[in-house]
Amino acid sequence: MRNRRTSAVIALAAGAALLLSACAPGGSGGETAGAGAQRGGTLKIASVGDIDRIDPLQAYTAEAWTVARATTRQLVTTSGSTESVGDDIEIVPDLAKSWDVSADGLTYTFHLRDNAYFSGASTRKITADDFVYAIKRFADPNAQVGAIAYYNALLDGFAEYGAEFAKVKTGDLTAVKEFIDSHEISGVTATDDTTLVLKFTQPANDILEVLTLPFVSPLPEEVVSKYFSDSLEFRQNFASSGPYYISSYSPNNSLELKRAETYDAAADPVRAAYADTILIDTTVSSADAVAQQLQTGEADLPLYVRSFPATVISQYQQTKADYLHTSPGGQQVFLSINGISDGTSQGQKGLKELSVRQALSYAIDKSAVVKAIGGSSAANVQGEILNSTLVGHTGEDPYATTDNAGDPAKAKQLLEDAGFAGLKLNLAYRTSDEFTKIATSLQASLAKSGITVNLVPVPEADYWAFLADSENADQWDVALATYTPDWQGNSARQILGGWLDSDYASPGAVWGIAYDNPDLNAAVEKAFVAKDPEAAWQEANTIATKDLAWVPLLERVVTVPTSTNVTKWTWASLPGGADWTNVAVK
Amino acid sequence: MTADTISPSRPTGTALVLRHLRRDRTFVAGAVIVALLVALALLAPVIAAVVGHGPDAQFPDIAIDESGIPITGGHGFLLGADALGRDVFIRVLYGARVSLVIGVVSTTAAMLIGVAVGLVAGYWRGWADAVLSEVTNVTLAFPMLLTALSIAALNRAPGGSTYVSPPVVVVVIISLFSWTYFARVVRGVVIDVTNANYVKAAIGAGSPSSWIVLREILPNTAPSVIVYWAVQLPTNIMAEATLSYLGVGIRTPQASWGLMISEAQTSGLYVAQPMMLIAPCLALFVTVLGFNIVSTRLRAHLDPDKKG
Repeated sequence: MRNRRTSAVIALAAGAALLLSACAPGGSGGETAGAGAQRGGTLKIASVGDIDRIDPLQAYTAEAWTVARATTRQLVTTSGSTESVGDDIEIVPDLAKSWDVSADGLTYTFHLRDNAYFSGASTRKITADDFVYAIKRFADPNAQVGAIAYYNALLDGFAEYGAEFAKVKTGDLTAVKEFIDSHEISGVTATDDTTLVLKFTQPANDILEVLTLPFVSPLPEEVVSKYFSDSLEFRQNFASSGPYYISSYSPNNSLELKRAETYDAAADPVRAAYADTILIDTTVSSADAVAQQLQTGEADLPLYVRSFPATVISQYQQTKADYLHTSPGGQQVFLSINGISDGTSQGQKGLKELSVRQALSYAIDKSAVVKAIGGSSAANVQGEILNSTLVGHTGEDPYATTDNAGDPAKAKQLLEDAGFAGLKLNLAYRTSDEFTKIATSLQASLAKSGITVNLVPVPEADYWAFLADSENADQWDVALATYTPDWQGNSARQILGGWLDSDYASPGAVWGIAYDNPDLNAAVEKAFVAKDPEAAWQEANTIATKDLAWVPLLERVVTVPTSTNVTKWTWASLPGGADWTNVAVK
Repeated sequence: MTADTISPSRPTGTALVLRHLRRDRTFVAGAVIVALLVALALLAPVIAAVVGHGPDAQFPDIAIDESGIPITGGHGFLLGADALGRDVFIRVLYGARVSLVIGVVSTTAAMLIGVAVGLVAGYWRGWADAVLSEVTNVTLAFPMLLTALSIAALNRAPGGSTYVSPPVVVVVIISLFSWTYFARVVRGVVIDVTNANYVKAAIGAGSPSSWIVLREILPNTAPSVIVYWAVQLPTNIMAEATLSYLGVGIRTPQASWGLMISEAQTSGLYVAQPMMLIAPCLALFVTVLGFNIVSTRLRAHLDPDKKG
């Protein structure tokens, strides 16, 4: 919960930042972008496939958010960091130049800049109404916002508005527009062109972080209401609020972004927008092909590459270390424990016992799993529920083993004591090359503890639904699952609150998890409202980690090789990768 | 009743054929390759036990460095390790077992189907011939890989498991797409043989059709069938590797050459550990080469229509 004083300090800091930005090389008046960097040029992106979502309503992947960083702005944002993904957590003003918070922490009044304009399909001034319209779209039954749970839980009147909106016939744009124009969300009001008032149902220390997500980006109703969300027409008529607009889009071929002529860098303290053009080639076939383009300079940055071949990373480390950027804070890979089964199989019965879950944790050779996916440049062993970049991370692994190689003897003993010697487990995994390797590695290491693993491969496209479907509950006992924090820093709400707190979580909806621990629920409640939530999140994290709500395996290291044309490397925490608006090309 | 009925100038008797084959250096070279391959495949468990590396055993501590790159040799890994620290040499040997078993079983199954179809179509002719010939043509018109991918998709049971074991599916797919060659060859031979005087005599004497087909005609198809079995076998071994490469066939962690090639390519680790790619490719090449040499020379000696 922030108060007036805090926001005043932030506004002051923002003002200073704005001043610095204006004076800095590469700012609105500068022509160079630091060492060897020129303002201008084309930033070339090699992408394995097309952009999955461009409409900020639905964009909910790291890659879509990478694009959104260039094409949208929010009320508040983070400024980017040259250090690491986890370092980019300070909330700074974006389209809101300042804000006030009521004494009870329930009302936020945002004062918007009056010199920001759309570009692309609209070139008019951005107003508070454009935020109201964007938020009203969240509950559109044709396409709901990516993370509706945040707004259902926090925004006053949003749940009621959504319930009414759900009654509107789908497939009818006129009906949608009529509903939006005739209904209001009580907690979302534009009192004038530059004042937006948001009312919340409960005080929360991460409200501003929630507002940094690209979902809350202004959109002009007169343009957007003509098209279905993220349709081809929508993409080709996108009204950008960011420094770049879509100058051309060809599905499964290319996306070209150009810096808007009307873009006023003085009105954006965050995005330097060095490159004139960002050209995304969406026809590249594989990570290998992307790597080749980066190495030859044909492309500058990668997109949609989950991990590069270990050999590519090794080559960069040896010959182009300055162009290999690594940061902790990537996706966590963990073993989800089937919580929706009735526990009829031996494996499912066993996993309800803490000692069996402990045996499972001790049995895993985590260092082997890390090596299987590319070694230390690809991931670090993880021993707790919260990632290293999140508030609440403790750095303590209650089930650590020597060199993270597992302890088969201890695992065997625990299983014997619990009466589950010779445990058999069905391990579900998605059939990508990487997860196949992880599953096979786990199978081999668990065998050393007498645990027989039957692999259950599931096509990647079906995997999420497969684990959530209770009809499949008897087919798997543990599953390879992942999470990427929606934002870095104070984002345990998503993990401990949204997934593990049984007062909020929908059983089985996420990776088949249905965890119920009253101690954890109480700790989460404390953390939600704490002024400084770190201690409370640490307590909650420790409870879930010791109880093995799931078995953490590894935390990916974000590793991004670039061409030698790229300078002023900057991390953006939301996409967890390059900040296209702050890197430059020579 | 034997091959010389059709081509009297051909050598008669198994012993004579074997003598010719023994003198054929090219055939002997091919046979040695095949024999070595079979021996290595059979001895794979023994070699694995001696080396101490099972086909699925992983040795990440000694076979993968901190960057996740597998070793290229040493520590008892003759051809280095793969991405999970498994012995490439041992997996190539076990891959030979898979290739040979699936190749032999599917080719034999295709042969049985093709011979049956060819016999019926060639002897009875008429509507049976018309129908079976059309079925053969329709089968030949199907694109194998697309059909295989479709069958693999249909074989997906809820929960990511399969209704039918993938190796069985591979055998069925390969058999379904290779019986047609046998059917066409056998049909042609049967039509020729049926016009021979001794068969006409048997028909005139009122011998039952089944007796004539099994005793008078079937033995005459044997040389052609054996030759085509040998010709088809390497093709089917390639087909197994192709299906496994595409993810339709053998599933991890079982070793298969196609799967090994796929794993090497998708991981990109072959750049640092070339044997991940070279070893299964070379094994596949040598196997196909060996069987092709054998089949070509067999054809030269046995096929009544082919001069060596």
